[in-house]
Amino acid sequence: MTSSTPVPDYLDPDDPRPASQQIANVLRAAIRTRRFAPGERLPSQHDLSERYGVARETVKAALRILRDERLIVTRQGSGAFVRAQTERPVGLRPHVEQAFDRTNVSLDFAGFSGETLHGALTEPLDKIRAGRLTPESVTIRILIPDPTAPMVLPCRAETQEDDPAVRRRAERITRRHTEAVLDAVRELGELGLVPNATAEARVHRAAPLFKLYILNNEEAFFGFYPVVEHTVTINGDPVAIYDPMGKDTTLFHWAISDDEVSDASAHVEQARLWFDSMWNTIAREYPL
Amino acid sequence: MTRTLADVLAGTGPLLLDFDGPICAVFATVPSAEVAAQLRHTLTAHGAPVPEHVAGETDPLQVLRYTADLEDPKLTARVDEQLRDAERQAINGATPTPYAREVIVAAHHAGRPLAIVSNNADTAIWAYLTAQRLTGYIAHVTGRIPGHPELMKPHPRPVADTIAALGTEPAACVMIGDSPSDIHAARTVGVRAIGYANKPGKRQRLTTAGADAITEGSHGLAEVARLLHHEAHPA
Repeated sequence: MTSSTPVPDYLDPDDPRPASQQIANVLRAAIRTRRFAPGERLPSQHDLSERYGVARETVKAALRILRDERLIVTRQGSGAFVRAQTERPVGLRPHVEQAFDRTNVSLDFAGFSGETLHGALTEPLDKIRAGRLTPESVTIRILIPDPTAPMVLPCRAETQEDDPAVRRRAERITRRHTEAVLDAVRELGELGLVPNATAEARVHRAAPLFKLYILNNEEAFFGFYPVVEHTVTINGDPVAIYDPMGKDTTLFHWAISDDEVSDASAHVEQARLWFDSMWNTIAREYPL
Repeated sequence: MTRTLADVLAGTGPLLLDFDGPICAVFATVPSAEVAAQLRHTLTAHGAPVPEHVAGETDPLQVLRYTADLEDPKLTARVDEQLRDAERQAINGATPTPYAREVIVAAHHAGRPLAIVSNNADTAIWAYLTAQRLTGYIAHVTGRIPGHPELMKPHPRPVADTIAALGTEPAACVMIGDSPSDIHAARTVGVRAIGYANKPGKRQRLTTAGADAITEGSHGLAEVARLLHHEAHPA
């Protein structure tokens, strides 16, 4: 440990508060001032207990304080991370990249276009291609609205009705990103870079109102799609549409923690349950 | 000599829109001739003369304008109110003008304040905007002043009032209207005017009235919407 790390090497000997509270305070300050970035891993419990000369239980108590304040998330076996709660989709990337650093990788996505998903997968898939990541299995499931069926969203704003031209535009965007992901993952399998690579997309006939990512069945990201009106150009004509807009939405982040009864663990469990229920019931084969 | 739409729009900010025509057809399901006849009936019932040119009038606003010439404030207020009620009824069956919504939404995203300057009753205008979920885009609505039809466009006052309400300058604004009275009112105040020639023969009349540019045909607003869309989303 050097003094260039984001937290001081010593606790103040004159501070009358319990050591756990003091450790929580220095970590909180480092998080709030961004010396630890969102998504970044905190020093291990072992490191912190050595640095401050306290018992592991004291460090655990400090981390519990920060977890209760929703400043950090703790992940089974891999430590404590600064929560990415207020992050734009960019906050998703480090977590997706980290999720690929496993022997068996799974990623479930439910949402509208898969544009953010496509972006977030680019780097880890490149790393596999370059031989820098070597998972044995990669399983990706993509759950999106059926573009061949009438949609309530996106729709033509003036009539609030489905419009095949508006839908075709959404389909082009969705298809581009979805197929890019499916092709890339399948290619890794065909090249033998990932012994067991599967990627599948299914469609449903519900409106896209939120997006959900589940990483390795342990972490979930959730964001609402606000409905916005804007003009788009279809066949050269401007058309005002109501559109689900996910680009700048805040993603909520939950991770299964050591604490089995935590709220975050329940969120991840319920997200998995919901995803599987959709996937195995009303979802249909992706139309080609 | 008119200029191009792009040329007239360039360098302006706030967009002033006439209502009946550029945004919707107010009397699409309730015939305007019927409303005009009802107003004439009120005039006759009050013993007011109805000359030949008024007897054949199908535009209720023209009947109201004539009423003001009679210089009977009570009767004018009464006819005005009757028309107000009729407009409020008619608005439920108003049909949106193609690409009007696109003009409004694209202008909003381009950061241009939007106002409506109309000779119609503001109650009917707000009812339409509410039903069409457009109120959030409109900074100000100037309807006709109750009991004072003589202050309707082409009188410059509605345009001047709107500019004051927006806290802007005439030279910064551009107005879109489909009648010579819109063009006259705008030009008198010093606002650039785009004539929306939605019927045959209007191009000439709007040009003569002093329109800086003309957009023509049932899809005439598409080009305006396209220019504003590109302004909002520069390639």
